[in-house]
Amino acid sequence: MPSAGDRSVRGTLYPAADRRARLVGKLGLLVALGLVLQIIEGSLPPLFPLPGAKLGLANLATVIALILLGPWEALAVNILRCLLGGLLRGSFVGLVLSLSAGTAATLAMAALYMTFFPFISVTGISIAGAVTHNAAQLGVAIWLVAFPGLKYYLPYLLLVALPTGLFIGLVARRLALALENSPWEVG
Amino acid sequence: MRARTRPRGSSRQRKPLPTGRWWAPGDILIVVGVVALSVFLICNGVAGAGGGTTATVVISVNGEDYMARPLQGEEGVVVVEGYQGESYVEFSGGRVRMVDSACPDKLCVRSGWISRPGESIVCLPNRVVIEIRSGDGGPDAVSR
Repeated sequence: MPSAGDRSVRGTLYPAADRRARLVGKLGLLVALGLVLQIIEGSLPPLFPLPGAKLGLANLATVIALILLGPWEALAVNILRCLLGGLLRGSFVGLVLSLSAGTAATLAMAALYMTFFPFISVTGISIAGAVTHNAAQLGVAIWLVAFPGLKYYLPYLLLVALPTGLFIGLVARRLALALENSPWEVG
Repeated sequence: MRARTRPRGSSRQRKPLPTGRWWAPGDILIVVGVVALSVFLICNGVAGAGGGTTATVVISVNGEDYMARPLQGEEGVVVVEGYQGESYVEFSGGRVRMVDSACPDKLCVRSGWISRPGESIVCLPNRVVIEIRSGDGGPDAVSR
């Protein structure tokens, strides 16, 4: 978010409105990024033999929003992306699963980022978010399907979250650096 | 973070990049914690995986339920009043077998231990059926 001393904002006639417009634009950009990544991932063959274990490319947008904009903006990006993505896929169960798990993961990542950030890197925060995502998703799935036997599945989903969270964290950090240096001033 | 400067006319103040290094000591704690939790859960799951911790053993005589008790739990031999005589069912370490039965062929005794949901031992002459049912669904609940 541009600070008050930001020249590009200071030069406008209505600084507050300009800041708001910029923020809306950035949020829209990140939501669109998440949606596109979600669609791309949906068309790829599954990476892991476990059902429900995905790379979670769409969460890149959430992590980038958390780094560049802040926790509330990340939450907004996540909720908007899940709602629109659910409408695109047209499955209500999928919408509930991704919205609840994504929100839980975003809250966990935001809490870690705000309390432990220099001690835990973006990579570690992303791993924690992926783990939270998978655990929350399994919990909601057990509740929705009313099949407690699914819980034996939890440790494998947690282990799968380690490489996916690592990958998402590394890519999100690189992308955040690139966006920060980009002429579009996303950061 | 980076020495590279933007080739732009703007003199916008560069704020410090909020991304930090690609890893930090705290990450190791997270990874170790998740791995430890997973290993703990897997060990717990495997210990009870011989039919799940809530699998029940149902013994029926002549088509009627005779008794039902959890697969895990107290061990020992249970005496079942069958059609022709007594059958002896042994519970041990999450497994069940027929030790002896009042039947001529002893096929039930030879079928050995069972431990998984869906498995069963049948003693036809004595009309005793031992069956393991999964308490919390198990694989049966998915296909139902």
